[in-house]
Amino acid sequence: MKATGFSRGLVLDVGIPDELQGEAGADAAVALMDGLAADLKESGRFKSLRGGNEADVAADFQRQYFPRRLAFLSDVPEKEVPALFSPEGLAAALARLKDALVLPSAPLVKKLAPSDPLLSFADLLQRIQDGAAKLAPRQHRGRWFSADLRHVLLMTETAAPAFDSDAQRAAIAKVRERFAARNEEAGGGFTLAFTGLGRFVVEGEDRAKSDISFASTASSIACALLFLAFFRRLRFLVLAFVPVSVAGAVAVGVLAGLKGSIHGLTLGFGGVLIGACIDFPIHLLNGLRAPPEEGPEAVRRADRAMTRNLWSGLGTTLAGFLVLCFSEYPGIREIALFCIVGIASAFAFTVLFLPPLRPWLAPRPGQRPPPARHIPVDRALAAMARHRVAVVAAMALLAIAAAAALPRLQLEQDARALDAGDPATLAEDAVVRQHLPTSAFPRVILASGADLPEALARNDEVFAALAARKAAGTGPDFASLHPFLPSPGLQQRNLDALAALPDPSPGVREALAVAGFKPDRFQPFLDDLALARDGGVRPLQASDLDGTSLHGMLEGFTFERDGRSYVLTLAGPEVAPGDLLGLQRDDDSVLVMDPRSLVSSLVTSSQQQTLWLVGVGIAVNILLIILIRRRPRLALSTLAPTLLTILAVVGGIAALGVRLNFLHVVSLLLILCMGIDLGLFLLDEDAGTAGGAGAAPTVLLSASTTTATFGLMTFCKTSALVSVGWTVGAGILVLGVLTFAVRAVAFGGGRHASP
Amino acid sequence: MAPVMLLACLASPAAAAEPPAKAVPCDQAPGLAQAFTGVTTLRAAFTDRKEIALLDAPLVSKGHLFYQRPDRLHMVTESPSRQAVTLAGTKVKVVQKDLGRQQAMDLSASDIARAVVSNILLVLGGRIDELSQMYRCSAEAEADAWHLSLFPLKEPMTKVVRRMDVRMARDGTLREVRVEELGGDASTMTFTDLQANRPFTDPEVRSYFTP
Repeated sequence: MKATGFSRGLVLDVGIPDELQGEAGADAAVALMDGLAADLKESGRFKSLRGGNEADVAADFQRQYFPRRLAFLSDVPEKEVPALFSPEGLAAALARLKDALVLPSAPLVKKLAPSDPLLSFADLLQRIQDGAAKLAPRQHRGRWFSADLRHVLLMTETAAPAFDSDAQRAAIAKVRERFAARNEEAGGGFTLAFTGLGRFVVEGEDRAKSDISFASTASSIACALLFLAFFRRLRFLVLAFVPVSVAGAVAVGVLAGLKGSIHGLTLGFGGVLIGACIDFPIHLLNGLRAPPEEGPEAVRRADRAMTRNLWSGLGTTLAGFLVLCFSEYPGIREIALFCIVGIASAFAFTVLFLPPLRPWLAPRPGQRPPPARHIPVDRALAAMARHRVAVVAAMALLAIAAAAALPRLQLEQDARALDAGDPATLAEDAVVRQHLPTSAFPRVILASGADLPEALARNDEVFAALAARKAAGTGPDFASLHPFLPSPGLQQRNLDALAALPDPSPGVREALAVAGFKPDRFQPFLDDLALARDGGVRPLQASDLDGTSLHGMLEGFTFERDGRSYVLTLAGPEVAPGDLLGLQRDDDSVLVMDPRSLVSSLVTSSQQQTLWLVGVGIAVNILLIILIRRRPRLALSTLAPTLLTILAVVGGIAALGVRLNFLHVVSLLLILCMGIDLGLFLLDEDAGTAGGAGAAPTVLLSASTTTATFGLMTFCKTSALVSVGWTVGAGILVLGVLTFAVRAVAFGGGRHASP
Repeated sequence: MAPVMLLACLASPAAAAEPPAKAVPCDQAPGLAQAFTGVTTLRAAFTDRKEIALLDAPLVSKGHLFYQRPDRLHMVTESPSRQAVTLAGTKVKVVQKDLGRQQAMDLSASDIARAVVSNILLVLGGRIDELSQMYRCSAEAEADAWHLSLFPLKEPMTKVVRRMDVRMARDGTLREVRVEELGGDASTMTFTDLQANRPFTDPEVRSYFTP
């Protein structure tokens, strides 16, 4: 990416209208693009604008390379330089010169021949041209064009970094505005396509903001409606939402204070935590408003059970998310921390501030007490209890089907799947990339050293290894900095090899005469040869290119990090790992990598670790429930719906052919925490009207709010949030049904059935 | 890029020169344009004699030429060494069989490279319009041929060529092209065994004109 310039800015692609064909079209496109480039430069938002019209390149090449051409003779100078200046070598070189003089390009060759009869400068330029042609688009009329000459291209580098979204947004707006104006001036019909990291950053941020806004608003409305439908009192709604608001504010504040910024995905994910946080006030408010119809002792018992269940719910939920804090993936850690802080804040506010409000919440004298039972739920429970065998069989069938699908489960390896871009932008990106010749080199080989000359020396070795394999037909095509800038050490070895020769001038003169040339005409070459042998030529250093038009080439292939210098080589997909090429070194000074595979392997590795952590979370929750419930049957009943739901969700993901990504995995943890909470409340024998079968309506409300909030996430634009929405939404729906089914099977149906 | 670099090194102004007194501007010569454009394909043997100051003796090369309007040319040199040059639009391929070398380039990268290398295409294709823009072109009717004198008008050709003389039969087939360069070197290419307007077969097109 660095070498192609993609990461540093925007690639602009102007398409020529069909009615403008041939040179007329090319001329019009060049005029439009030149005007656009001038406008963008004037805006001050672009650091560089390159369209292929780099007039100084030829002069800079001539100035920097021609005097040093004898330092570039060979990559194996100790062997090849003596061979080149042997009688046979000189005869072959001069035969090449004669052949070149026969070609239509002879007028060009003759100009340099007196100084370069061995065509070493022409060969050097050819090598550099071959390398540059692999990375630069086609040149036409002094500009960069697509191969079919129907699109003119401009490589821009923005003044601001790609991740400065505000600056990138302004730069993109400027591009669109100035193109529209220039297109109108040119008569219209031209098309603009552009791509670059900055565009994806801006659109990703816009998408995340839009999703966060949608998810929070829609979730709040859905929860409020469900809440009002259940409690039918506005004050309950207010009291339920205050802890949730506190949770959001505290979580954002703590993360912002700790890290300085919060990722959009975390906010999107956290925005729907409302569905999880609201469970605490739902259960507590339901308990607080219950009338003491069964006497003070029953109320005290119910209060104790409520407190125990709330604390148990908090403990199991926090345990699940605490495990995720050990993830290697910073995004997972951030989400886990956000959830822990948010849920703990919601809990703290709920247990501290809501109980004192009991007198205000309980029914007033003469007021009809709230229904402690929900007739449809009771009926459903009773029906399931009557058909226990069928219910158990259905659950067993679900477990078997889900387990059977598990072998088909695949982990997501493509990081881009978490936030796929806008289809129109991706299509535009594909069009522009099609016009760039860099997509053939997906692999990157990094050569590094304590300083740039040392890194270049390593890069010389990389080039030699790759060139040998390519020549043998066993290696990939590649683009290297080496022809452009071999290490100073290698250049010096060429000069030393020349100096080590016996005076070559007589031999050269004789070879010229034998080949039919006039030796005196080649005195410039003989003078330069003597100068090189006498130490009058200094190897080309990277610093010699500073401030020249050639600096961009160097900048694209080199960088510094942590005090080391790096040189890039781009290679085709066939390149073998470094150790197989014989390049890998113990000191990691040469590394072969596939950036896409590297990202994918990091993603896969992170997901495997996250999956493992979720497994630990499940184990911790099982242990906690065994400790809390003490009786195996009760513990099993509490855990069974959740574990079966997790199995069903994972099996469903596998059966649908969806690749499991790390957000699916985090979603499983949410299902675990929610499921344990539902089980704790619905399957509690001591909770009286606020628990056990009496808790059925609030459990139903809790499951409904969670399903609604996460279900609404499926309408988001960010793929990752949609994944979470589908997983948790569907999971909680299944979980709700299974929790009631287990309740009916294990403890019978109806309000009065007790475990 | 290499042609760009090489051509960037060519720099000196063109010497003034005058066309023959009886000559008329090419675009006013009766029948010249029709004769030129009447040739759509051409096969010919050629002999190219180059007088180069660097060499003791003229460098003579022989071979065959294949041309298809408007911009395809295949030149095969059979002596003194085997080489083949294929021009298709702005794309060029040079194969030096005896040296085992092959080189491809795109002339569109440089105006000067395109002008120099594809000069012959303009002549073969009878592109009077383009020739008249780049050269002061005058035509003189001889006994059975046209004699065209071309003097470069603007860069990049003014940096390379002093004059060109083209002799063409009345039927539009080329007989001789002589190029005098600024440094005093010259080349004369004569054509024999001409076959005009004999269509190329598909295999020939693929073989001759694929750069």
